[in-house]
Amino acid sequence: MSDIAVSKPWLASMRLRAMIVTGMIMFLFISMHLANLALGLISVQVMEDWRWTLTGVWTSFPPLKMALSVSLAVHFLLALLSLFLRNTLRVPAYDMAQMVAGVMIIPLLAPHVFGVMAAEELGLRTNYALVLNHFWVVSPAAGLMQIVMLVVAWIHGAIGVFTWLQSRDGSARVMRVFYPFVVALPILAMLGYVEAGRQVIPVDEGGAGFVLQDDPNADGPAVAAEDIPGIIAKAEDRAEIATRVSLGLVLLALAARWVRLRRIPSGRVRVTYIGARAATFEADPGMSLLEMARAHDVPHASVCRGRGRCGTCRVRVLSGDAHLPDPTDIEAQVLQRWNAGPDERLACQIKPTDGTLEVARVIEADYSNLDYSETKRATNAPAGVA
Amino acid sequence: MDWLRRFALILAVLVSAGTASAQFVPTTGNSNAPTTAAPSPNDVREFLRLLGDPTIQAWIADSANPDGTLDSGPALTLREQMDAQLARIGERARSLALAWQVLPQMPSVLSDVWVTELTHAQKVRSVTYILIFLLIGFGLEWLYRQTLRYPLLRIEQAPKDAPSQKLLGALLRAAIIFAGLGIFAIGSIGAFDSFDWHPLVESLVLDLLVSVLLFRVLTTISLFFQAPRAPELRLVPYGTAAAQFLHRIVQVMAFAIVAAFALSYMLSRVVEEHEVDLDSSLATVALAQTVVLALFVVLVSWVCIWITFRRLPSLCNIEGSSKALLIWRNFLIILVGVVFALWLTGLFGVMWAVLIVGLAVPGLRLMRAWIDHFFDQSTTALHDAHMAEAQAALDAFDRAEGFGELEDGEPQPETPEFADPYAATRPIVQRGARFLFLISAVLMLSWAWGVSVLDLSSDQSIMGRVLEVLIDSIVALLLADLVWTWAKTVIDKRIADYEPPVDGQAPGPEARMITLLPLLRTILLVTLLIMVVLSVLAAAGVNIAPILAGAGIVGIAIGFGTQSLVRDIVAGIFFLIDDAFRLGEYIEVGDLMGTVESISIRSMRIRHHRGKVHTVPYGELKSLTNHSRDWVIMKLEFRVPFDTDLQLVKKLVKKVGAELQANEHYGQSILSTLKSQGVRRMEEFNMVVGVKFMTKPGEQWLVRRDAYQKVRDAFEANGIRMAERNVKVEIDGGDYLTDAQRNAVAGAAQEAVQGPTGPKAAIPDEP
Repeated sequence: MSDIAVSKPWLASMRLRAMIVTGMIMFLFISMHLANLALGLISVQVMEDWRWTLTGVWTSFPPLKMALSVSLAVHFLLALLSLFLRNTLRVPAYDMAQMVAGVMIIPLLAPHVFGVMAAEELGLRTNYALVLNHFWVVSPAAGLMQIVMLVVAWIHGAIGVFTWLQSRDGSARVMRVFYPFVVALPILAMLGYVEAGRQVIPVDEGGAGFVLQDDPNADGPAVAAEDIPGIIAKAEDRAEIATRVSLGLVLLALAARWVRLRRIPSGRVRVTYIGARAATFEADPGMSLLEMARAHDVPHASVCRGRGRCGTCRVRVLSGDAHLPDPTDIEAQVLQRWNAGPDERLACQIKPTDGTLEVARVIEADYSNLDYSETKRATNAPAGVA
Repeated sequence: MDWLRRFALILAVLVSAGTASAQFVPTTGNSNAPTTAAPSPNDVREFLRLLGDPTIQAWIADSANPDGTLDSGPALTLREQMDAQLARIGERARSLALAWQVLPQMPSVLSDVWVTELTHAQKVRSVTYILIFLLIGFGLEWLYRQTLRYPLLRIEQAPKDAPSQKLLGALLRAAIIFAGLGIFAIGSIGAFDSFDWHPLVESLVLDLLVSVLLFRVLTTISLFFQAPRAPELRLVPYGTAAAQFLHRIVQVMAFAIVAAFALSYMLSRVVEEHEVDLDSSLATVALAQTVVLALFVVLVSWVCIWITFRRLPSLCNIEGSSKALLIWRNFLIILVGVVFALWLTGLFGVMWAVLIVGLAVPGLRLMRAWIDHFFDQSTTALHDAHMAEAQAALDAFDRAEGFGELEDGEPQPETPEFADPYAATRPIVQRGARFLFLISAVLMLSWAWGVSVLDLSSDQSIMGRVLEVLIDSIVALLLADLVWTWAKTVIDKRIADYEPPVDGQAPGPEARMITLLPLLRTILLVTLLIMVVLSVLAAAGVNIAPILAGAGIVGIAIGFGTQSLVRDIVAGIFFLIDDAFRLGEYIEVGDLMGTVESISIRSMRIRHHRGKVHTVPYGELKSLTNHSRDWVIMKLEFRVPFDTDLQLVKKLVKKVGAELQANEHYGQSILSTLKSQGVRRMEEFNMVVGVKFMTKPGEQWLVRRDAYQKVRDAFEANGIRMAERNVKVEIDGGDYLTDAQRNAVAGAAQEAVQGPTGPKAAIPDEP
């Protein structure tokens, strides 16, 4: 990350901002969509009544539709960029989960999106009666995939929002709301989906269940019967193309990253941690100090997990001949916010090259001495990069 | 790679599997031995009455087989029992052979059943439900874990010195994680259960949810002991690499076992649903299915054992003992094989016995090593702290020496000896753990054999009797052993810790216990032995009431005969408990005096200071005077003439007191030094000046000697004369008497005053 940050700090800052803004737009969409699903706990009718307000507005109101699709594209491309810039793939579990989930989203999402589009082409009005029937009765495997999709997308988004919230000041109050929200909404949505399914399934099996009043799809597809397979095949083709393109781009980013890492000069850095849980290890240069510590199982505090936002990974550089460039703007801002001493640096931002380095943690790995009020003492410090 | 392909095949078979009721649950293979006692006429009448009872008739009708026969009663003789057992094995072998024949068709048959039971949509929906409810459980658990994230992190990462802290931390963490599992269970199983479902779908999904929970519980237990990612909480004596490896092995084993059970139970659900179609071919397929599952578990176990013993030496840096490792590996592999073979032959009781006993042997050894390690760690931690303290003292000394702050000749501080505080606890914990381990093994064994420990007495079969006797005896022995180990350790430690008093010093209160403890130990041993023997006899069916009564009568007879002996012993115990005297004390009993030289059960020996030895039975003691307790006051008197300067006397006595106090030999024993008490009384010809001092017992004689001598010297040096008895004879108009006459008169008067002089009463001697 800091390769860019060193040369063009505003660009790195822009990238982070764009990532968060686009991510938040999609998170808002998913939240509303899940809220809509959760209404299934009451009845499919209520679900249908609220469909336009909660979901349809994103697909039929042009500015929102535009914002959503642009967000998706921008977010995906920026994610590829950060994948390219990652120095190590030995990342914390949350980051790994977010990464894997991110890669999986488009392949899982494509059939749903193109399927709904194909339904429009067939002249069917997309409503919950149609979709639920499709997912529970006609093609339960697709329904299963939707659940996987929902979970994957939600995990990806929630981790992103989390990381953003955690690294902000005074987020404790927001967190108190966000923690239950992030669990309750998908659970309610899934239960709503299950309950709606239980209302829809018996109809197919000849029992009593939910039937939509004035179903616009009662007459079946509006197009000629011989065109239907073609339209469906086209939708499937599109979904497959989208899947292949997205996975291909991810592979491309990984390959480019591999080439980039190959070009980093080799050498050895010898790092010594002093204080409680002291440790010494040798590492390849190119990684940040935090990544090196993680790679050698040295516990390290890091709330934002190495994004240079929270400042909890600060270390005191005691001695060592390893060359450390001056703090970038991002790092300087965070250090200033914490009233850090002149010898303090962010472990996630410094990349020691050849030589030795002796550091001590400012905040213990178990956060036992983490005190957010330290930041309050700063007078006009900007409120973080994010 | 061939075995891998076979493995994949087996796995595929398992996944597509569809029917069979598992034979995992053991059936009672033994304990069917009969009774042959003839009924009494009363019993016969009662039996006839019962037969007439309509409820009993209904019950018999209910419990009859579908074809109208009742289950044939247990075989009558050992021979018949053997035959029955052999027949069962033969039956089992035949069905196994049949199962072997249908094995190739098994996948197709199972998939057929699977297809007919559930539609495709239902199957996929079941998977969806499983996924959704698992996710709900995980989500709630995550929320819970998130709220406890920092406490958990602190527990995991805070440095821990003592193993007790480690254990506490591990327990806390396990509690937190288990509470999370509970929430997971509520979130997944509870949420699922609150909907109404298609019965088969419901049971399938529930089975899988429960399996996931079971798997997680097993891995959490492994986590509790091994803590692969939190070295501070690890309770087992090996490093992170070994812990991570073994944790993975445990996960694999747990997965294999839980999966096998889940599949076989799932299949039994389908069969239950199927009910009607429980014909022979399906039963055979079920058996084949179960055999394949069991084989899968056995293979996984073998592979795990093999890999574990291969990797472990390099992970734990074990050297030299490769032969022992090899033996244990082979033992475990053979054990698994034997258990599987027994299961195949259908001897479930024997199988459980072999499994439990086979695992108990290495389990006991491991547990012993583990507890030892735990205590070693504690002792090492304490020892390190102790050594650091001693080193700090030494360093301080060296520093002081360097600065020249010390007086010459001050010795270097010695390193105090390190005493292991767990020396007494360790064997008790060892025995206690062994006790619990063996008891649970015995309970499992009895459960596996279908013998309920609680209502054993109703079981009249030979096997039941033997088991009952065995279990009762083992429990009695283990309990007695536990109590005995505890008592012995405590008593031995107290005796070992006792330091006999240095010559000339009064012994401490421990001396009393030292006389009592060996006696107590013997009494306890005898009592425990008698109790164990009696309970074993009682368990074996011997009526112990006559023995007890006989013992009581003999006890009374002996008691009468040895009345005085008993009185001596009991009185002695009470004197010792009262702490009336201790070894080395100077006591007075009636008209006997002397130092207590030895204390035995019945009597004590007192040595008079002139060498006579008295032996006094405790029963004879009415009251006892102890001269060696705490302090002694001694009062002395001096007679001085009336014209003595009392202020001077006071001053002189004070000076002498100070001198006595400063004496290097007995100065320390003086509790309150010599001081004047002024004039105690006036006598005809002089004043009596009293002085007194207080010393530790036994020191007063020496001090008295010096006090007399020093006071006399001081008086003389200061012109104070001791009053002497003199007679002043006044003779009216005696001026004219000659000296000779005066003397004669004085002599006559003295005789008249003093009376005839005779030998005085003996003054008590010093000891």
